[in-house]
Amino acid sequence: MSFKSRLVKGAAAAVAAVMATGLMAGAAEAKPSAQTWFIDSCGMPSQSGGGHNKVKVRAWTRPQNRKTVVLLDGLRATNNKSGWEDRTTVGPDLAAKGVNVVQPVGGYMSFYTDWNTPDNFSNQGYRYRWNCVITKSLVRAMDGHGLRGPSGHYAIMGLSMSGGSALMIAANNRRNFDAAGSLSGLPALSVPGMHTAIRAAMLFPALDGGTPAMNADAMWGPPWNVRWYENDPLAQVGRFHGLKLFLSTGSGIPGYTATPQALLNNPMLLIQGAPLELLASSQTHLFDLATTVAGIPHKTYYPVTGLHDWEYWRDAVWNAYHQGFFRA
Amino acid sequence: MPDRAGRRLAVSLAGVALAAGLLTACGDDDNGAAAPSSSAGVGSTSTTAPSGSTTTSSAAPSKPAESSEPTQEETSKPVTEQPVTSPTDLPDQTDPETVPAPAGGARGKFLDKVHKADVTVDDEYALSLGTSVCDVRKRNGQKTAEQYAAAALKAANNGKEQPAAGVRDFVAASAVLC
Repeated sequence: MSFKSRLVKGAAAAVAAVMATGLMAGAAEAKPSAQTWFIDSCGMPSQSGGGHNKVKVRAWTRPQNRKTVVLLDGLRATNNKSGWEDRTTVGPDLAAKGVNVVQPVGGYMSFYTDWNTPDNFSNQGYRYRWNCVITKSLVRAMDGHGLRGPSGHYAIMGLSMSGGSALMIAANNRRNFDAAGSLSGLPALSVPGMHTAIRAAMLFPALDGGTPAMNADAMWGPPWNVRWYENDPLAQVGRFHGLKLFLSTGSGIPGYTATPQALLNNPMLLIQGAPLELLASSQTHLFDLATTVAGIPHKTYYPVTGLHDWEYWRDAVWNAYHQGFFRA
Repeated sequence: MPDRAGRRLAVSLAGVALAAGLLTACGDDDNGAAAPSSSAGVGSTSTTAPSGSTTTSSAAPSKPAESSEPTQEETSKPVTEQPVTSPTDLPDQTDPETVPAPAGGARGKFLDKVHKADVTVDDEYALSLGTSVCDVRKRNGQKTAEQYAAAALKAANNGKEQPAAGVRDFVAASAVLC
């Protein structure tokens, strides 16, 4: 083979290698499109279409991803679309970075728990069974899609209402979950006055937004019912040993989203967002202290500003990612 | 819709007052332990472990573009999640410390007064709501307690407003519950 032809071959191989690298990089970053699954609703009527007794789930997955996270919605979850999908793009973005994302749709005011009774305020007519949906139906569906990954476990994160729920679901289902995150959550329910605050939070949307109020007593009974204690991460802190934990909260000080125009358009961003985040902050720091005292390692993200809003929760997910929370 | 906006604002302000009251409560719980002012430093990112921990601090995201920019996961960070075996004196998990139910005497007195008040509410819910209303009244005053009770009683009656005098009597009756 002449020098010239060897040169041409070598150059062609180099070009091919560069192209292949580019293609691989492109493939590594490709954002998957959303899948829609319908899973068993544990006896609840259909929550979001899909036929009899079904719950809708949106998922972004890629075969090469090594971890899967379940993202739970907030207090005002709708049956159309998870707030995570409506207000952020972490689903496709995180999936493109190696972490499958699964978002159950629905769970308005449910705290993603199994309720004691049907809600009498909204004449619900059935009992919420969201803990069953997440820990049984959803896990089964994720298993069916082969999403366990090398760790053999899933991660779960919740925000606000579902922050503490994510922690307790993981603590109570160690066979399926090894990582839990609470973003602006309420993980200290046994603090005096918290039952009163949650009762208020479940009444407020009826006054503010016209969506139904719900009865906190229908969920876990009156304040002296043991279920409040059983579902309180602070009271159950000893159960978090060995779990990968991530805690995040803003400070209640307006952050980058609180531009004059944004506040003019929606004053509630500040009027509601600041005190809610202050409450979440005090709750999260208390739980942080309890886990530290209990010798439970945990990762945290406490930006100096931040209201009770989606942009900050999106940032928190990425912070968790950078800290290796989703590492298999 | 000035009425609606005014009502939203009033309820929001009541919420602020309630949250402020709760925050005060969080600062001085039964153990006298104040919530930590900062366990990880302001605007920091940290990994916390009681012993042998590694804490890394970085500037808080100053721009949305920075904070939301997906970049490669940091795989070289030191792993700090080794098990820690420090003994603690946490409460025994088998010994629930729930909110105590109202004692028999207070319960009876409260229900007697509620039965005489011009409100429709079943006994079980009245007791549960009464403990919350008593709490709100103690921390945030009569007016906030009345707003809270009115909203809760309305929700419990299929959205039917309860008479103001009845709500006032309910709030007054709740004083024996805390």
